Amino acid sequence: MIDAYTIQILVVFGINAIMALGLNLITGVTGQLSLGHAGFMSVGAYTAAIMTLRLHTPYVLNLLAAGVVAGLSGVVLGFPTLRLYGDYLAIATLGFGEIVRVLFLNLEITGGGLGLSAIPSKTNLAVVYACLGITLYVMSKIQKSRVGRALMAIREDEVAAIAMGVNSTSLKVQAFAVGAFFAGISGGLYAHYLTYINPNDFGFMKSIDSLSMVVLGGMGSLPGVLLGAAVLTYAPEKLRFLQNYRMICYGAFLVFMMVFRPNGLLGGTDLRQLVKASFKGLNWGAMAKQGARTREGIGGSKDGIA
Amino acid sequence: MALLELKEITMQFGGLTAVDHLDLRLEEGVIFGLIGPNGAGKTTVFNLVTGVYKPTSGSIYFKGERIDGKPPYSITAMGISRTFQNIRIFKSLSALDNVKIGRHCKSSMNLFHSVIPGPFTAREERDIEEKSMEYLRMVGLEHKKDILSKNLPYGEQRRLEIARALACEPKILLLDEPAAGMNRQEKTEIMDLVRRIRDTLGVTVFLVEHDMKVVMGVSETVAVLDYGKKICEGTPSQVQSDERVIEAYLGRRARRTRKAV
Ligand SMILES: Nc1ncnc2c1ncn2[C@@H]1O[C@H](COP(=O)(O)OP(=O)(O)OP(=O)(O)O)[C@@H](O)[C@H]1O
Ligand SMILES: [Mg+2]
Repeated sequence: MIDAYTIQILVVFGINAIMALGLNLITGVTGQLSLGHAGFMSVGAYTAAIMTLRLHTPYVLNLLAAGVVAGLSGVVLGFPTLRLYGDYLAIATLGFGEIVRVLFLNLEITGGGLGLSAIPSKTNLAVVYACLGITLYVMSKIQKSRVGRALMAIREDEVAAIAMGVNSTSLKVQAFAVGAFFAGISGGLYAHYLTYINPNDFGFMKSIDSLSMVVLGGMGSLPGVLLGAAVLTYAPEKLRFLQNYRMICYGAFLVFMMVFRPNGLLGGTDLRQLVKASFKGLNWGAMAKQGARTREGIGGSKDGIA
Repeated sequence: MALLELKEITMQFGGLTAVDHLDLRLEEGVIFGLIGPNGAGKTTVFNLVTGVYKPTSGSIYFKGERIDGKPPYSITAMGISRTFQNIRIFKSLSALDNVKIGRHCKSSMNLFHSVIPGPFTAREERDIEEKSMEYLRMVGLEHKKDILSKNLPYGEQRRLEIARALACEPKILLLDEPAAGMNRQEKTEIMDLVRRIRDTLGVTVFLVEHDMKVVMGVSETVAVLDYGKKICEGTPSQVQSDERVIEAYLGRRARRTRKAV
């Protein structure tokens, strides 16, 4: 039999992988850099915890609600922000993650800084892997479909995608909703596994964690994301003495990947392309007034789209 | 009724008037050439027709319906499709996937269809694949379907972009300098392709091109733009012999040479 420690690592890997697969749809497939994905996980975790503690609803319902509420928060975040491009979006998602954290630290229903505890322990290996299986199935189906191709088109060249009839705003919101849904499920699983949650469990660090998982294996590649989640779940266990330097390690790691393995270990899309698209400089306001409506027109090149 | 009609279109960027009170009429089934010196406003005209820019003033009609102000994706869905002067293919996707994305408007499968399989989804997916292959074949790239488009040679990337634009079965195809950077043989192939697009698919072609041999060779009507204004319109031979056109193209240089002599 497997020992308790191994089971714990396997469970945590599964939870991380579900979350990273959600983020992969947003960042790896659609090319929208999100720095606040842990915010969705937090929404999911708290939804499940509050439902079970206050309403004593069954576990499966809690998980579903966790996904749905997180998905809805993805839509709420998506509508105003996905009209933004590049660095604005990165900052908006980062802000979202922080707002969720600060909000939950100050609300009564979320238990403030103490968080929520005595959540029934329900999550086990079987449930996590069933959820992971479903997530993988859904993601692989999406990626091979009309919608998935359109999402990739947005990542590759949004101007051309729109010219091909892709309603990019609507599809980006949908990608955010689905990605957030799975982050929510992962949060629900987490709450019912650890049995206590605290807003700080879902901080900026957690968002960077999952971003690194997506980047390490290869953005857009499902096996890549699984590998990234496995490595970055296991490695910190073995490198606990580095705990205080995590930020530095991740920073160095992301730069390293960008320089030497921009396509990840298993060959996803180019990380440099994402970063370039995401940090294009902030001098867009002036040109936006001139009537251009798309990224390129707003600031990509001086002469607009050619 | 003209298929596409621009009425008094003006587009200003800050102080610069890129298109100046332009009137154009394209009848269905024509190959219409638009030429003009660098910076004349040709690409801007395409961006206006496809909804990338909203004109400062004037109106644009497609099949009698006013389209300026509509979002670009819905203009495409109505039947206007384009290529770009600086090729904009989906670089890290295969040639076939590029064309499949071109068929986006021809299908309505949404997120739920992609996740929940069924005979409808399978049939639709097969249809997308078959039709996309047809367009790849039309531009002679069927044997390159699985190659990442960024690894295709330049000339083939241009043709792939045309296949992608055709995949949505447009009424009118806007080609922005399709022969740019091509050698003589490739240019002949492009001219042949443009003719086939109109003759076999019945698609109206709106062509911007610098290469005179190409535009004059395939277009039935040519309009000349200079500083955003239409200075001449007519058959290729009429346009070629027009004083104002020669002036616009050779302009100062011609005058200077004359003075020097
Ligand atoms: N988004 C924009 N913002 C500011 N100026 C622009 C923009 N788009 C085009 N222009 C300007 O409008 C003018 C017309 O540009 P356009 O690209 O339409 O010319 P063109 O006829 O296509 O030239 P070329 O033959 O070089 O492609 C140019 O002076 C260009 O600098
Ligand atoms: Mg141009």
